[in-house]
Amino acid sequence: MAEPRCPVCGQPNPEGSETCQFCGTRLKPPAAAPSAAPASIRPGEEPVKKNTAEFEKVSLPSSERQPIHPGEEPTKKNTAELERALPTWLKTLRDKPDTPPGEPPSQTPAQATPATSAEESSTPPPPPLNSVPEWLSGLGSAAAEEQEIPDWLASLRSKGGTGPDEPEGLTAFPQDAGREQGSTPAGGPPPASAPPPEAPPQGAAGEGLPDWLKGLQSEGPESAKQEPAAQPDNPDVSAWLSNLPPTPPAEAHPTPAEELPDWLKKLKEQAAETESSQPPASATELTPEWLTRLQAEAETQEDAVQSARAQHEDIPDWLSKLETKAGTGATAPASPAFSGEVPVSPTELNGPPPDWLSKLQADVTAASEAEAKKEEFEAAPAPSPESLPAEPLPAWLSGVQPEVPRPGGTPALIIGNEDKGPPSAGEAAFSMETPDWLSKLKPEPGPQETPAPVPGTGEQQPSESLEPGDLPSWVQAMRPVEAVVAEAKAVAPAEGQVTTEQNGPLAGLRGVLPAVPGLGPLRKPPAYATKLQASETQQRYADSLEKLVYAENSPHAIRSTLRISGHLLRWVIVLLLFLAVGLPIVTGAQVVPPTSLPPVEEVQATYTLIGQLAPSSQVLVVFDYEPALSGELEAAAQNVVGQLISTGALLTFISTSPTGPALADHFLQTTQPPGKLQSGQTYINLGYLAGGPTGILNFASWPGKAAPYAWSTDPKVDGNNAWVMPPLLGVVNLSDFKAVFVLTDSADTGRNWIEQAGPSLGSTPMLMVISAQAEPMMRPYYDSGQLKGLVTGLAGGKAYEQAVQHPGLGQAYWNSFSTGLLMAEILILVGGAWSAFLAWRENRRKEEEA
Amino acid sequence: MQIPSSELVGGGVSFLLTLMVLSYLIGDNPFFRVAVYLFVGVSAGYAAAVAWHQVLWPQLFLPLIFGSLLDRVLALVALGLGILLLLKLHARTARLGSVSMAFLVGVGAAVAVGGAVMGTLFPQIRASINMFGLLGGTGTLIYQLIKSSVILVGTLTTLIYFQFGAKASPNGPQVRSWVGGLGWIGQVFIAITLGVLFAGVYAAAITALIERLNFLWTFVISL
Repeated sequence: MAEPRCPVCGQPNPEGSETCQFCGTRLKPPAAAPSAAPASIRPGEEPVKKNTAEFEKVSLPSSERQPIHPGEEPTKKNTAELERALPTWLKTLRDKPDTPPGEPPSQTPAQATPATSAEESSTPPPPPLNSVPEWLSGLGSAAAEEQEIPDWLASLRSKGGTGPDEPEGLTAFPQDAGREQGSTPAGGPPPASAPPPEAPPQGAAGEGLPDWLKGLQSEGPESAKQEPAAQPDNPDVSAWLSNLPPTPPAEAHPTPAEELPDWLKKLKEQAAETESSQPPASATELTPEWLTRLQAEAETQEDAVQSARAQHEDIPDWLSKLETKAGTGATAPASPAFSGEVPVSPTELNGPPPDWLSKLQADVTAASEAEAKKEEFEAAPAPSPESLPAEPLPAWLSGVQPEVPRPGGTPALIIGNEDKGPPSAGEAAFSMETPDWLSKLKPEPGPQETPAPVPGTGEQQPSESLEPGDLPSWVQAMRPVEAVVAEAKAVAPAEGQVTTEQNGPLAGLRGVLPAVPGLGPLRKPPAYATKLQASETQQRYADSLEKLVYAENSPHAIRSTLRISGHLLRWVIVLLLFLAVGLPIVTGAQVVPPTSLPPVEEVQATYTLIGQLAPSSQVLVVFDYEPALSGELEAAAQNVVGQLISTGALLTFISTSPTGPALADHFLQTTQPPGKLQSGQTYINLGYLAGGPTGILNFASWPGKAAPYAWSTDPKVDGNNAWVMPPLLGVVNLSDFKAVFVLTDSADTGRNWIEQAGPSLGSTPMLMVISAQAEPMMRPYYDSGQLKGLVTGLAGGKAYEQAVQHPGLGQAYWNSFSTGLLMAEILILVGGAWSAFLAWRENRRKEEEA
Repeated sequence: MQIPSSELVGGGVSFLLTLMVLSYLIGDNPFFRVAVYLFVGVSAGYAAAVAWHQVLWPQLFLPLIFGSLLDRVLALVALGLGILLLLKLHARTARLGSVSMAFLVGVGAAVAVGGAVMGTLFPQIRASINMFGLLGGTGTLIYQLIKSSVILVGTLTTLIYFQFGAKASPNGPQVRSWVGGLGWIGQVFIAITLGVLFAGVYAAAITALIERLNFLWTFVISL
């Protein structure tokens, strides 16, 4: 029976294994249900061998295009048939030849043409037995590049040195040690005696991890249980791992913000149990290629570090600690991404622990220290070489120079108390970037090994691996500000070189433009009060507004008041007025004693002027009042027109109102004795004059043209030329009239006649009989001399009657008029007094309430 | 004495209409509404009849038909302007009536402004100046002087009251103190004028009421 192959990585696994030994993928479903669909792939089942080349950029036939449902058994296929369906990057990774750890990655040109290589190859080459899985082949090359290095790995490298503790997951990768020796890594088929790997740790945290990481975790406890003799391919790994002292369980550091994920907790527990019961696990047969590459890179970096040591003198204490600890720790340091598993140098398996392991151990130690002082960025004092166990530093970390804290300098960012001392090496480096789970992993003190050379101390350790070298740019970028500033101070800038800023928020940066002289050192920005600054006026306005709003929303007590209906009051007033006006009419009683009015100047002038008219004088009488006030005007103008008729004047009637001619006829019928006037003989009606002021001006300019025809109820007169009749005979202009009388109830009409016809009158006097409501507006015209006479309302008519000594409507209406005015005066006085009393009482009540 | 039937009918209709209008004292009611509707309708009809008999026919169509050449030309011009004015009723042709409207507005404004200036403003100013001449007036010299001063002060303060200009200040726009004081005096004169106007209106109205009640009583008596 063919060995079951992992559906994810494609590696063969022992028969009966439930999870893949390489990636940890579950090979068998938890409750495999028989499925009739053979196309589905179920974990644990042998996939159908297929030619992967058939799937490359081709559309699978419909029979093979069935979706995969979870829990279903996968269809066994030939993976070679799926070659064509593989992505290009995977092909490229797979096709990369395995490179030793110390060699730089040489697959770059090959990676640049992944498409062509993928397309050209028809069938993938068979993977070697001990080769790294194809799906992992690219990880090592990716790690070699600076831009692709994850932050957690970069932080590990920057720390330098290793810790004394054995990482928990180190035992899970014993097979990685085989890579450093240049032998085939343990990526081939697992040993026959290798127990089936356990299921990857399940949990909330484990679900979020990639499968390969889960597999690494699962292989950790598994590999710890394996016999060292069961892994003949990596004797070095097994040997040094066996020499590793048991790692006590990492102390859990209380992290303020984060907690260890569940999977890491389990790893720790398992590692603690494993280390307490069994010797350190030996390496497994399979070592991922990416781990091998990391080891190679570490060696490369170690060389660089060693070279940098010779150049730089200042090494921070934290870095020195890391380097020294890396030389002492026999246990491998914990890797944050590998769950405590790090690549192990094959040269250090039998002897002292590898550099990368030492460094990782130092990382863990530094992380634990950084957790305690997380908010400080103070440079750590450089550790003395004597206090730190000498351990060889890996090549990639050897170039990291310890930095001396800048004394008296202003850090770039001050969060806490500035009076605290400079931070330790671990705090400065790991205060911002140390993952919580890494900080909780305390490195275990390992056996005293050959101490690693402390960079920057000037002491060249007798180690061939640690050579001073230039720090890579990404490591230099990770350096704390204090180290950069101290270095800049120690190294005098050469002429033409850029300077490093030493003060202010830009401390540590190079190429910063110098501040303009005179500005002075940067200082901390002043603190501004958050309290609202409001002036007294604003506060007063705000208080007023608040009072208004409060008063608006506050309910007011409703006072019950006795309110008299408006209709009742109106009826009462009407009743009183009707009684006052109607009783004299009905009863005929003389309520007011008959009195003579004093002579009125304007009335006397009117009487005088009419008296001076010669008989048969042609007089123009304008009837411009409304029917509503015909009673008043008729009462006022009765004796005026009557006197005109009595003097023998020839009257010409005209009106600018359509109802004027009819009112003129009505006036003559009601106020004048019949038989004295004859239309067309003694008087003539010119009818309606259209146009308002314009018509008046037209009539004043061309009277014959403006009103050529007569209007009369007499058909003999109606429609005939009025200007040939006796009343208008010889009249050409307006000034040919002897007098002009305007009867109007509106001040506007009277003003129009004065304004338009006045200039055309010449010496012809203009007199008016107006309503009492128009008197205030027309009296100035009398006072100015534009009007020669003025009779106003019923009172004027009464006065004129007294002048002519002929009683008329004025006298008849005077009794009612007097009582009506008296009642109005009484009502006004009573109403005013009552209003004043109410206002006084309201004010008094408000005062009492206030 | 018997009243002629025509007068009796007319009187009776007048009597009813008067009562219907006076019924407004008890509130708006159908009788009052009928009376108002009748008044509006009759007024409009009568005005239309007057306009035709006394304006359109004798001054437009009669010259156009029987008039001389000059009369006809003038009539045609008037007729054309009138037709253009009627086109204002429709939205599409409203723009054509703008010519007539412009003519009417222009002439009306000119007549009004010219009359106001020459017929009111200048004569009133001359009369106010002549008041202080103190010669030829009625009454004693002091009386004329006081009268003239009161008229002058009232005129000026009333005009100042209607000045609403103010100067900017930090606390907002404020009117000058002396302007405000004189404006207060003008307010007094304005109040007196309004009171006199009210008295005149009341007098006219009460006279109209007396006349109507007298009519009603007379009609009732005549029955």
